[in-house]
Parts: sequence; structure tokens; C-alpha cells
Amino acid sequence: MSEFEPKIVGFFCNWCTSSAADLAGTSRIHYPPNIRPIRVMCSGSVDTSYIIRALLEGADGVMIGGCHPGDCHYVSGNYKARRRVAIVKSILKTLGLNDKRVRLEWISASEGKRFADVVTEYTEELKELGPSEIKKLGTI
Amino acid sequence: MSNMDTVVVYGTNVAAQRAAANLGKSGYHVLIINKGKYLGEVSSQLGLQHPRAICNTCLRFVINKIPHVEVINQAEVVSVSGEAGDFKVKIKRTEQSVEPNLCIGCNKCIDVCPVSVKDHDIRGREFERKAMVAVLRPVTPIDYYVDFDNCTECGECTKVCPTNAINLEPKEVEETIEAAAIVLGPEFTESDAILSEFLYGLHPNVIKSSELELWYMGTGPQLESLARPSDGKIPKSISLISTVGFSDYEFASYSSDMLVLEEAMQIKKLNKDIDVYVFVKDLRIYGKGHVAYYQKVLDNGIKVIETSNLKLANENDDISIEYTIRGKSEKVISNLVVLSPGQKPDPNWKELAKRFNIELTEAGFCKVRPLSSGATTREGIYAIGEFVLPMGDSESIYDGTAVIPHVISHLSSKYVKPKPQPRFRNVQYEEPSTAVLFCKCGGQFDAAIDYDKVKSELSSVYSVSKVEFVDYLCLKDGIAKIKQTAADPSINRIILAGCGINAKGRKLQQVVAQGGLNPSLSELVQIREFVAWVHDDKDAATEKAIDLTRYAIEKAIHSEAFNIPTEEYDKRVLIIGGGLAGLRSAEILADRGYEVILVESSDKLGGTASEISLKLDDVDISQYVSKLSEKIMSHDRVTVYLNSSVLDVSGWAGRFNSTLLVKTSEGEKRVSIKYGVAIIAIGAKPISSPLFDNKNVISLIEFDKQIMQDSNYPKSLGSVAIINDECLQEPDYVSNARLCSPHMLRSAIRIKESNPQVDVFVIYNKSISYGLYDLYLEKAKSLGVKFIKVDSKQGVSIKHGNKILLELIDHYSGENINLSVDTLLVATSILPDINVSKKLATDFETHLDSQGFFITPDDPYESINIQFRPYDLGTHGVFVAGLSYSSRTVEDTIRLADTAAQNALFIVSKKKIQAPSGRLIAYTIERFCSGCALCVDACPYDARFIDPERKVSVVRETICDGCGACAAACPSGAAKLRLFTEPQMFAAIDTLIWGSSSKNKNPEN
Repeated sequence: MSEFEPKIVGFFCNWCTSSAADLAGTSRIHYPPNIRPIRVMCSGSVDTSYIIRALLEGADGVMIGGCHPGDCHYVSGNYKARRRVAIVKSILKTLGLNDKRVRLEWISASEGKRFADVVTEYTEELKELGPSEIKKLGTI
Repeated sequence: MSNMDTVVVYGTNVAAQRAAANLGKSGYHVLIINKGKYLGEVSSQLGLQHPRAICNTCLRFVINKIPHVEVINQAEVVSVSGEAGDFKVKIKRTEQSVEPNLCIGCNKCIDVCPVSVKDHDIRGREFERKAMVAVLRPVTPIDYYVDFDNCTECGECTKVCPTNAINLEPKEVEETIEAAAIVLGPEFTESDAILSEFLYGLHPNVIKSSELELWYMGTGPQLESLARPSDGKIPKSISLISTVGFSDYEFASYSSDMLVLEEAMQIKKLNKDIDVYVFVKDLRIYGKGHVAYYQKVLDNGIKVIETSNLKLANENDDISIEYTIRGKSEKVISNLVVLSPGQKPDPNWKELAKRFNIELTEAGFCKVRPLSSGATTREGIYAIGEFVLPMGDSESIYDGTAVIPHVISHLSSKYVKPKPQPRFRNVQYEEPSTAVLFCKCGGQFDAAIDYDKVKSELSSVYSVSKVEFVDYLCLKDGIAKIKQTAADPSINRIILAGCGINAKGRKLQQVVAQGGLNPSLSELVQIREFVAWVHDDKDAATEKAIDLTRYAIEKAIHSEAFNIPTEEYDKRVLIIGGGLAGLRSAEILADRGYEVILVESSDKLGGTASEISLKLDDVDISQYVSKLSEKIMSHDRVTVYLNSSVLDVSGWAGRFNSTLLVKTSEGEKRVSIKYGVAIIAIGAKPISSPLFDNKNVISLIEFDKQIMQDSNYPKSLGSVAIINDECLQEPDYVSNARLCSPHMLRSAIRIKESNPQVDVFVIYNKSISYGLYDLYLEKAKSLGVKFIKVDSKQGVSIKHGNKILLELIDHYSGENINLSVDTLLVATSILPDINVSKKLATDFETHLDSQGFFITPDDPYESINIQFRPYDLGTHGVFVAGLSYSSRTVEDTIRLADTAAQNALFIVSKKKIQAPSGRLIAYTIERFCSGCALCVDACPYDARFIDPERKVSVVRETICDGCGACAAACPSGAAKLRLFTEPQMFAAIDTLIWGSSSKNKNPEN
């Protein structure tokens, strides 16, 4: 059996984390292809339902990337994201999911290297965790 | 005069970039003359934006994306002839070695380049590069250039370049540009010469702060970026030194010491176990929010040492720093020393001034006319930013705005013509039919992507009518292809798979619009940056490319065509407060032809500025204010209401309504007014102090009033001590030094000049001077004024008698000093009338700090936006000027008033206001809305409100910035963000997870 390849959905804010991903690209810094980035305008616009949807559909991990605290392009969106992710994490247990399945990261536009590092590290972490518990439940 | 709407901006300092952005956004043509190979050779390399060490990358590099702004690189101005409104600017430029419009960033030229160059990075580490160099920066396309010092001109790169973008024989070209006005914003240069006193260049572990920032570059601040040059170890103890106080050669930039504190915080954030010391002579914290930040720095365990004596010595790989504090000598061993030098006028500016035929000051900065916001000695040429003063970034930002109304006055069209909106085909009732145009980027994707698989997978996706591969989407053929596809009536969705919006994507989307298809029906897929350049595994990369394209297809299918909302604004401007700031903005707006309503609470115009005795060059401020008051009172387009106040405010930017309460001799009356933009300039008043019970204790403002009546007044005072009332405050005081320090220095000079025999003492706490006011400090010292720095309240005690006795503890020596003086002058803090500011803040939905000064709506965790966007309050269309923003000098007030006026002009000069983020805008599905107002709370811009009659949430479209916070907060799915609606997002998530196996899955589920 080939090695388990986790599927990660990334919600990256347009101004910081998406730009960091861009910079990682222009700098040709390699990282695992497991991440599927979705560009959103602000991490504060990531609805809890998006995260839950992704997990229920079978994503092995969801990563939300925003600007560093205090740097939000839209004043305070990243703080909203922080609270929202804390709420989602608190209900993951109820769903029978490990709370590492959701990860919030602050990555600024100049941190291309860090973007690649974080994605690599998260992919490794999820590989160790194994497939999403949702899949084991047999619901999908 | 010809039809001249062109402005030449020379140089690229922060203020110049701001000015160019401002003019470009206003619709005027801007040419930036840049000496460097690409824009922002220096500024773009700094990791974090000061003030407050925030990232800000997203705003910094937007300048080359603003329409009407053109950059001419590798260019220098030779001469300027003609006059204001009709300048002929002769420039000499060298053609670029790599043409940015053609370059696709494939790196083939670098791969074949046979020349290997040994270069040093900023930390002195050797690395190898080629003679072809790529410059990587966030949020901008990659810039390439040929290093001609090492290039052998073998021509290999030109052979492999797929787009013929390389020019190995760039010619020097002379051109003449016609411009109506010129704005000068050259950068200052750091001077290294004096830094050797601090072992710079002599010890490997002594570096400059700009170098530390460069270490962050590319990765952002990381612990590794602190590794010291000598052995690559992470230091356990770091000392930051602001060199400016210890040398006489340079000027302190407005933000120099705050910058050092921010760097110290940055290091502490990376590892709180590192001991961080900050050495300064006089800590220059004088402005809004500075003291609070300083407290935070202390709370984080950073040691800030103010000393007059500092000595650095080699200690193997470390550096020992000896200093004296309160008379005692102490020593610190540091593993790394970071020097923060001040600013110096560039010696080349002398020659520059000759070319532009303008004058410099004795200190070497550009001479500007008093009260002019940057007018040089030659009409039509303006100087801004570091060229005028050693400004910090936040001052530069408003300097770049304040100059605009004056620049515009030389242009032929005072109004901005609206751009015609392209007409789009109506595709509302058509079944989605998608064309995927997949760029190969000149074969760059071959290694990572299996095109056949992409084609076969995508062709079977619902709605996809065609999948085509194009060699270059961004070149002529590709663009023709996009245009043709967009015009094809059988296609109503276009997916452009290639590069991102920061590369060529933005341009490509415009081509879609030109072709007649609404850009909201097209999507970009970043194959290049997100897949091809970062993944090796061809199968996995191909799968990811397919997934990403499919997600874009789903998003496009679920998107709707809509146009950018526009709104017509009321062109009238309400100015609250008839002081210097209010009058100045009223003058600018009224002279440009806009109607102004000026509301003043007292019975005359003039405010605080009319009471101070101050001459700037040969202009007397109180006379200037009284003349300006007369002009405004009799101005055709200004309606002045004296003895009046604003009772209520309704509506929002573009459509405010208010009732004024006007007291006249016949009694009170109410007046209803309508206006589009408001400027708040209610000013502030000096606070009273119990010290004033003694008749020999007077405030500086009172001192000024007396001088205006009797110029011999200073002689009657006898010996004088001037004390800043900060010295008597609790540690959480709000600094008044920005206003008071120059005032204290001027007053001390004046007393000493009129009566050289008497003793004059100046007692201060934190900073007595900043920026160019150092010149006053020098003069005062040379006249024999004595300066005493005290630590805090405990260091000062005042006894009244026949003479006033002061017992002080000197900060540097720790000695007790007893003074006996005839008169004590107190520089009092100023505060706005809290009742008035509170009411206005509530009415206009803006925010106040704890003292009642207006601020931007910052978040509860850290207050960052105060300095970041200085005068742009959260509520669109409401601006603040004058002392009601913070305590500041007359020069600063003028600059601020001009900024407020320009911000108002920016709005009223447009026929229609566009939503700031274009198509990206929030909306409400009213039948789902329960009127709970969660979205109203979530919105950071007050762009949503509950319609009082229908009880549903309504979006103020020209205020919404499109962040989507409301959509995420809405519990009933009524609040939505266009282009990112729930059906779009759910479809996107599903496709990404299910990938190719979800072919038959109904996307609606």
C-alpha cells in the first residue's frame, strides 16, 4: 500500500498568506502538493460552516492562514478568525475528530519560506495522524 | 497652455510613493522617475513597516498597480525648463536590460548564464549567483536585470529567452517630458562614516538596523534571522543603540527612537529569553501613542537606558558596552549590537537643487515656503518627505497627501473625468459554458504537468465547452486569444490558468472585460506559483492543477455578472471648527470650487493658533490666521455659522444630514444642512494646573499672549525655568512633547535673546526635541540655556515663596539640583473638549482614545492603526485635522489640514464614487435577513446598517471594502460577499476534496 497522502484544504487570506504562497512560488521553494489552497479575502470571512463542510466531506486537515495579529488588512478580521477557529476546535471532539485537523496560522506576505515550512510540517503531522476519523466512521 | 495633466514625481521615498498613488487614483497621469533598476530598490527590502513594526506589504507595493502611474527606471533628470503648468523635463534613461512586460519569469536565462559571480549577502556570507539576477519580493512580479559588471555578453541568455525580453546592449536615451508640476521625493542616504565610533565595520557583530531588517527578507522575522555574523550563533544578549543622540553629525528622524523600540519588541517576540538593551541619549517619544508603546516595551522586560556616556569595546566575539547612569558607571556584554543611525541630507542634493533650480536650507534640506505644504522656491515644483525634514514614515504618508491640492492647482483639468465602463454581454439566462485557457508559460509547466491528462479530465467536467493550451497567455497571441474567447457568444465563463494576480493576472482579467465578458464570470488559477514552481512529483502536481482548475470552474459557474456599484456624492463639505486647521481646509476646498459649511462654537474664527506668538520665517502666524479668517468670512462659497454646534448627524458618506443649533442675538435657531464629507477640527485647549495659583507661575500660552501685547515682556520675568508638565504627571500620561518641546525651545531662546544675563533653565522628562527642532536645541544651548532632564514626578518638587524653588534630581548624574527662579513657565498638555468630541464620535460613528482625541477604529488587542493610516478615519468621508487629532505644532497642523482637505477633495472631485474594491462587495438577500445586526457589529468599516423601516441589513456600497466579515457572521445566510458566496465556496470545497472522483456529483449539494 502506498503511503497515505492527506488532503488539506487551505483557506488563505488574499493579502498575507496567499501572497506568502505566491512568494514561495516565485522563490521556487518546494513543499508537498497535498495542500489545496482556496483564496479568500480575509481569514475573518472563513465561515465555520466552510471548515465543517470540508471536514465532513473528508478533508484530512483544514488550514486557515491569515495576517499576523495587528496586521489585518481589514482591521480585525484575523481576530474574528481566531475566535471562530477556537469554537470549531471545541466541537471537533463531538464529531470524533482530532483537533489537529484544524490549524490556524499567521503567515505574512513576506514569509514565503515560512509558508512552505508550515505546509510541509502540517502535511507530515497529518500523515502521522492518518486518515480523517470521519472516513473511519464509514459515513463516506 | 496645453492640456496638461501630467505630474512628474522624482524619487521614490515614502512620501513620493504616496503622492504618486494619490494622483494616480485621482485620475491624473503620473510619471515616476526612478534612479534604480526597479521600483523601491531600498524601501521594498525592509521587512516590516514602521511605525509599529507591522507588515503592511499588501499596501506598500500597490503603486505599480494603480492606473495612470508609470515608472521610468534607470532614469535621471538632466534639466528642467519652462514654468509651472508647462515644464519641459529633460531626462536621460538607460533602457532596461530585461523588459518587464515581456519577461515571464521562467529563469531559463539564469540557468544558461555561464558567468558565476561570487557575491556577499548582507551578512557577509559568500554565495554564488549568475550575471543575470532575479529580484524576488512579495506581492510584485519578479524583476530581472543583467549585472553588466560581470556579464561577458556571450548572448546565451538571449538565445534561450522565449520572449526576447533581454537586451544586452541597452542604449542611453534622452527624452523630454512635458509636465504641469513636479514633485521631488528623493530618498536620504544613511551615512556610515560616523558609525565607526560604534565599532561598525571594525567588529563583525556590530550591524545596522537596516541590515537586521534585510535579514528578515524573504522569510519574515525568524529566530534564525538573528544569527550573528561572526559564528552564526543566536545571541543571548542584544543591544540596540540609537546613535543619533551620541553624535552631532546627523538628524534624528521623527520616528528614530520609536523604531528602535519596535525592533527591540520584535526581537523579544522571537525569543523572550534574549536580553534586550536599548541605549539612547534622550528617548524621543513625543507623539500620540508613543508613551503607551514605551510602557509596553518596559513591560516586556526590555531595558531602556538613557545615558549621556557610552563606550563600546571589543570583547572577543562579543562587545562590551560601558555607560553611566545616575552618575554610576555600569557595563553590559552583548553578543550582537544593532545600530540605528539618524538621517542626513544627501550631499548630492546640492547638485540636484541646481538641476531643478531650487534652493536648499543651511542644514542641507530642501527649502520650502512657510505654510505651504512643500512649495519650493520655484513655482510648480514641490518637495516632500525626507527631502524637506528628517520625517518618519507616518509623517511622510501625510506629507504625500498634503501636497496634492497644491499640485493639482497647476493642472489643466481640475476635475477628474470618469472612466467609461465597458459594456458587457448579458449572459444571465444562458446555461454556463466554460472555456479553460491553460497557459504553458513557454514550456515552463512541461515538467510538472501532464497536459493530456488535464485536457481529458477537464473536458468531462460539467459546463466546460473547451480546453485550450496557449504558449503565452500574457503575450500578443495569448491576449488576442483571450479577447476572442471572451467575445465568443457561445462562451460565458472563462478560466485563465497560468499565473497569479500579482504577476500578469490582473492584466489578463482586464482583457476579458475588453472582450465584452463581465470579469466577475472569469477566474484565475495560479498554476505557476502554486503548482509548477513548487512541486516535483508530476502526478501529484497534475492532480493538484486539475483540482485547482475545477474549483475555479465551480466558482465561476456559481458566480453572477454584476457591475461595480457607483454612487453620486453630495459635493458640499462640512467643517466643524474654525481654528487654523478648519480655516485652512476650508480655504483649499472653497478655492477649488466646492461649497463649504463651517461651524464654529465660539463667536470668532481663529482658534488656538490666533493666540500664539510665532513667526515661521517671516510669516506671523496670528496675522496669517486673522487674514485667513477674513477671507473665509467673506468667501462666496463658504457659509460660516458662528456660536453654533452640530445637534445631530444622520446618513453616511456622500449623504449626511445634520441640524445645526445657531445662537444669534435674536435667539436660537435650528438650521438643517446636507453634505457629503465632513472634516472634524474641533481643536483642543490647554489644561489648567493648580500651580497657576501662584502669579509667578504662568503657562506658555499665556506667555505668548503677553508677548503679543508687549514685546518687552520677556525682560520683566527675571530668571526663568521652563518645565514641561509631563514631568509632573503619572507614568501613563499622554505626551504633549510634539507640541510643547519646540514651543519650550523657542520661548527659552526668546527670553535669553531679550535678556542674555538672566538664567534660563529648561526642565523636561522624555524628549526636548525631535527632527529639525534639534537646530533650536543647538541654538538654545549656544545661548547658554541650561537643560535638566528629570526622571519622573519624584524628581521634581516645587516650593513657592518670593522666589520659586525647584528641587530636581538630574537623570544623568543622579545629583540633586536646587534652582531658585523668579518665574516658572509651564508647558501644559492640551486636551479636546471631551463632551464635544464624544458627541461627534458617536454621531459620526468614529472612535476616540481615552483622552478624547480622535483615532482610527483600532482593534481591542493592539492599537496599530493610529499611525498607520494617519488621517483616514474608519468612517469613509469623515476626516480629522488639527489639535483634535493629537497635540502638534503649527507646521504639522497645516500639513494635517491640507491632508484632510485633499482626502475630502479626493471624494468630492469625482463625479461618481466607485466601491473601493470594485466588484468585490457585500450584499444582503433580504428575504433571509432577520435584522439581528450581527453583520453590523462584524463590519470593520460601518458599511452595514439596519434599515429602520424594513428591519433588514443594508450595505453602504461605496464604503464596503469587501472583506466578507459580515457574511461569516450572518447566522441565516442573508449577508453575502460577491464572488465568494456560499454556493461558490461550498462547490469549491467539495471539488477540492473529491477531486476527479466527484465528476458526477451534483455541485448544488
